[in-house]
Amino acid sequence: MRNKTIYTLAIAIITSLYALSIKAQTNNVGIGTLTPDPSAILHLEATKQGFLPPCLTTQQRDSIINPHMGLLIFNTVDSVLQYYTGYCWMYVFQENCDDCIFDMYLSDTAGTINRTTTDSVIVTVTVQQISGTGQAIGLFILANVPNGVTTHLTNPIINYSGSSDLIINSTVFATPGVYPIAIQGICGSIVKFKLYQLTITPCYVVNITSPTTNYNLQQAANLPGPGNPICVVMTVYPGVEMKSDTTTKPVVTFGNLDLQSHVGIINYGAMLARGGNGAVGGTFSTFGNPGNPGGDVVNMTTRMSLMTNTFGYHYAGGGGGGSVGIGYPITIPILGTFNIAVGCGGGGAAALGHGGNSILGGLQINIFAAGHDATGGVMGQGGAGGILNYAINVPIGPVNATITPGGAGGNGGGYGEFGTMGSLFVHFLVTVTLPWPIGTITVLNYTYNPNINFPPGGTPGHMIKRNGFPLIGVPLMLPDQFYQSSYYKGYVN
Amino acid sequence: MKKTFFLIFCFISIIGFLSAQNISNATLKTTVKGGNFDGQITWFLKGDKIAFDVQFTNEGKQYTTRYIPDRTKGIFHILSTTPDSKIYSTAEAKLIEPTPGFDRNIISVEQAGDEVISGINCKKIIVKTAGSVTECFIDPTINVNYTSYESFFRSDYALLAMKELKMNGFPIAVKTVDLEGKVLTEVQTLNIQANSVNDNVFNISKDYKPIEQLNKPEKK
Repeated sequence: MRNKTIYTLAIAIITSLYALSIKAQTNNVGIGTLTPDPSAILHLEATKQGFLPPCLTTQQRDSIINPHMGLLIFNTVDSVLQYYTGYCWMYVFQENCDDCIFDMYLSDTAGTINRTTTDSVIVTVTVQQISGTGQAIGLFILANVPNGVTTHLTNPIINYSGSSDLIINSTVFATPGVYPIAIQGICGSIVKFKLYQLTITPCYVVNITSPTTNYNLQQAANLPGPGNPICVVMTVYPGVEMKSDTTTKPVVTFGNLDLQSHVGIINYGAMLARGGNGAVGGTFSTFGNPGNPGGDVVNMTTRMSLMTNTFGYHYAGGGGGGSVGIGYPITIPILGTFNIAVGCGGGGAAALGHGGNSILGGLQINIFAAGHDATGGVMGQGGAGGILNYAINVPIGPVNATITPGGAGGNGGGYGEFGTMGSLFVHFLVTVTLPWPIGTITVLNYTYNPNINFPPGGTPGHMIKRNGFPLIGVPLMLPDQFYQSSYYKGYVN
Repeated sequence: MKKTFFLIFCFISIIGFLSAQNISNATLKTTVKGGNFDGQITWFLKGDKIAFDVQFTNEGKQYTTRYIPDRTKGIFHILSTTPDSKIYSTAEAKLIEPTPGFDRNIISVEQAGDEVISGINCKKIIVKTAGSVTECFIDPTINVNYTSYESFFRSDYALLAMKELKMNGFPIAVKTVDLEGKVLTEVQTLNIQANSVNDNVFNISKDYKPIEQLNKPEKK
């Protein structure tokens, strides 16, 4: 038995020596081939196997003492072949040791904007440089999104590692759909992409194609009411006039829409609020009355967005003109005391405000000039206050009382304008004529000027009455203030 | 019957007045027609003081105004008695405008002798202007210095004639016609009562409230 073992060992040694003699003759080794390429010192061939270098973690790799230049490993952390240059461990696709290798992650890969409860989504982009000298990593957005959707990176350049918020906003006017947004990270010559999928859900659409009066959006368009917040976009077509027929009713109200709803308005037409009426004449004991306030265009009861580049007209009603009046007991020699009432009505305000008229009556001498009505339409103008500038003769027996009022009621305001204050005085010239032997005696030459500020004109209405709800102007914001421009007239607040 | 009684009353009154000479205290009632005026003026004459009342009714209510010319101040004191109030006011004499058509450019003043008007022996004067002829009957016995009131009585041809003739007295009848004979002004005296004027007639009673107080602008 022992002899048999010795025999077998001898055969193996002889065989090995033969093989070594072959290597020694060709100076290279082939595995899976008997004819290794002469240029290769080791030539491997297989159809069902691969070459497996040492698999090390980064920590294990870095524990190799004095790695030889060209030492090759597979990095199990980064899943990549690495070799030692004599200076650094390089990824096989790196060009030099300073090439930037980084990772990039998104907090979410998809999101939705419904424009009712939210107008935006935020995605956190995190980058981390894992190789190469520390470098800046630039982030870019490639967004295939419709008008009304904007993207913004809070931190577009990150050094080495860090994060940036990608904020995506959508107006209520953006076309609904699903849109891709690519986030691109660039560090040196290395470029990475991540894809984000944005979904914008649709809003209700209401088109105003014919004139309306005192429009109630929820009611007229049969929209959901309380408990069902929605977004809705109302578009006023060119040439269409929406108006109100009384200052107590705005041109547009939202009706019973849920308070969490979001209304968008695109106005290519004209939204014209009713102007305040001119003040009626005062009673006998007053000096007139203030003009009436103008009507509002939109009374917000939900959040609202207004497209501001449409060249549509948004005109609040003007304030009516204040009336003036003097109710005065004038004592005239010879005749005694007369209650005289002189007044002018305030002018109506655009649109279509009525001029003030007289409410005086039953007095002994009434002189009144009614205010004029305003006109309507986009070119509507406020009416002028009534004007008194002519003499009125009151003959009684031999006495002739000439009453000459001078003044006018306040003018009605144009769209979004204040009504004005009027002014008034009254001159009395009283003569008595006796044909013989005297002639005509001037017994009273007296001007009554109360020297007061008569009641003011009315205030203009609101172009937009927010009632505390947020107003979003698209693309330009509409801060709370008083507007008097070509397309906006009235208060926003 | 009433008219007859009225004429008799006038006649007796005037006859009684005739018996007096150089009257310095009298009340005269005259009727005046002209322009739009057709009413009575009651004159109060005492010394060289003159006052007169003018009455008219409107809507059934009577209005009486007393005018007291004040030569020193150049004003009329005007006491207005209305149905509801008593008012004191003044009017500047310089602002008095003559009656429309009154022409101060007198062409001629002619004394036409004496004539008895309603029993009173009057001096008749004829005053001519370019457009009118006026017959004036002046009672020279009324000693009131009438012409010194020229700045107040600016529509009286009789006053201008008396001034021209330096005549004293008081006109008790005046009739002005135009060149076509149309009566422009006619004044007749109905009644003269001698010694009937009290000094109070010329006083400004405190019952009359100054118009400046009545028309004080109210404060609001």
